Amino acid sequence: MKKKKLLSFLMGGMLSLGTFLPSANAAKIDAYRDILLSESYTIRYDNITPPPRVTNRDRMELFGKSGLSVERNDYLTNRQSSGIIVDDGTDRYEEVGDEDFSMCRLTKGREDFYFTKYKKGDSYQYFGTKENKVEANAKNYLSEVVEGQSYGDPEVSRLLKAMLPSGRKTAGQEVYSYVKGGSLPEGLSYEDYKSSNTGQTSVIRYYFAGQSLVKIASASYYRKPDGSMDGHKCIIRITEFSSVPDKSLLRLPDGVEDVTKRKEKK
Amino acid sequence: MKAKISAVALAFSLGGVCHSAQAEQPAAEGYRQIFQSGAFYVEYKDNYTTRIIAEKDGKRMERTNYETGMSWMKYLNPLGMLFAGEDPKYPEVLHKDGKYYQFTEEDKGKVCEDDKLDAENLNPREGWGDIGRKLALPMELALFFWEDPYRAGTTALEMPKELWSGKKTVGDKEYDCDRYASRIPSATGGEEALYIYEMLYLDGGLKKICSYVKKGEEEYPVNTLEIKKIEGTVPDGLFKISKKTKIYEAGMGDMNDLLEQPAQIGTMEGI
Repeated sequence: MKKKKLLSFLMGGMLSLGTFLPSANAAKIDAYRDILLSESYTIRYDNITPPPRVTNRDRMELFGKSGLSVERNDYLTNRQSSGIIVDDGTDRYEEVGDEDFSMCRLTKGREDFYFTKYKKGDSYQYFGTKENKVEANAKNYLSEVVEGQSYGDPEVSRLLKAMLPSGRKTAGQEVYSYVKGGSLPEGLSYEDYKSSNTGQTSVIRYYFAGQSLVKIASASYYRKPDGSMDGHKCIIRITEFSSVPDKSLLRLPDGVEDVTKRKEKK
Repeated sequence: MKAKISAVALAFSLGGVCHSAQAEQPAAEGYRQIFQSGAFYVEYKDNYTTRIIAEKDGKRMERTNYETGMSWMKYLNPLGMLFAGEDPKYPEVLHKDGKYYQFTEEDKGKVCEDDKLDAENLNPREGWGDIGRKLALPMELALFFWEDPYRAGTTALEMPKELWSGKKTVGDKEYDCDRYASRIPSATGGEEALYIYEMLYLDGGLKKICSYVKKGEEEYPVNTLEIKKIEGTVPDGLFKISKKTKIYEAGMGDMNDLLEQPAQIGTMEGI
């Protein structure tokens, strides 16, 4: 409840300061921005472009408790993945992976539970501190306020945070502004955004079928210290982006036990 | 109610930082001098680990001891060591002469030169990306040494300013408390939040630091550090490496790295 109050206070402040960017004529993305700001949603996506390879090994390995550092997970390297993000204003769930293996984080109030979900036979097993046991970590509010909210993997986090108004971002974060929009064949339309980041050029195109966000494509490139160019592209297919949180994901999965030793409040 | 909230919002948006009449604890200046002297020893405990960070003669080291459920047994020395394991006595991370070292075992380490730390082929599984964070003082102590070359550079947090000094009761103890705050500026030039540091002193010495993110009216706890020691004298042997410690080169994505057979480039004869 407090979170809701805080949100409404912040939104009120931003409206009064006129910091709701980007441009007013970018109408279709506004509905999705409002959903993110309402903190009540279910988002499901497929990351078509595998994350760039950050390790120099092709070996696959499962890591138990490695948080949602998707880019550091060998299994998810060079592999298409899917993600789920659910928020109901108090609790939150993030999952990134594929049919066989996913990294998950469930936030209950001020506690984070990190665990992995993997297929064993025909059913899923979970691993937190031990098989089917999880332990709460204190939520890291500093990283959240400095880096902004995480939405699944880092790439999708960047593409969804780009929708948020600049008043919701700290000084180090990228701010995107509307460039142009238009129509495409087969009933699709698009809106283009560009980052203000001076170090690199980043552009994002949001694709809509009617009013529905169906795809996000992004390209960024920059010049390396030796003068050569480097870049990265990413394509995300949005399979669900609704304002209704899937409450079944906002609790620990059946069979998973919370073994946190909590100090009793005096 | 609405007016009250607006007033609070305005105070924060103006970066409302005020000083109380009561002055900062005298020990704070002493800690600043210790950190700036180039020789210091810091030992503190957070929720999960005990960490030691020290600097001497242009060298910086770090060692982390992970607390486990059995950790208390090691104090039953020597019998307890059989059950709880012994804390390592060698630096986990060391920086000297333009090179970073990571010691995974008492007689084995890997080395990476300063200018190769950002190399794109550097093996990310070896943890070189975390080296800077390990050698840096925790943010809660960085306010005594903001110019620390190892400080995790971020534009997201501004240099802390003192907000208030007074008394604060935590648990059953009453501490002398200095409260500082770093502004976390927003992309539009306003203030997204404050990072608050509460330095708690007992008998003139810093005992505990509690940190919070303050956003709007809410405070969200982030860290609690229990300070065991901050001294200008570095214990003997803290930087000591076992004789004949084998030093291997950092994985650079070459064949040695791929085959997990890093090339040994020498031995370290103790420091």
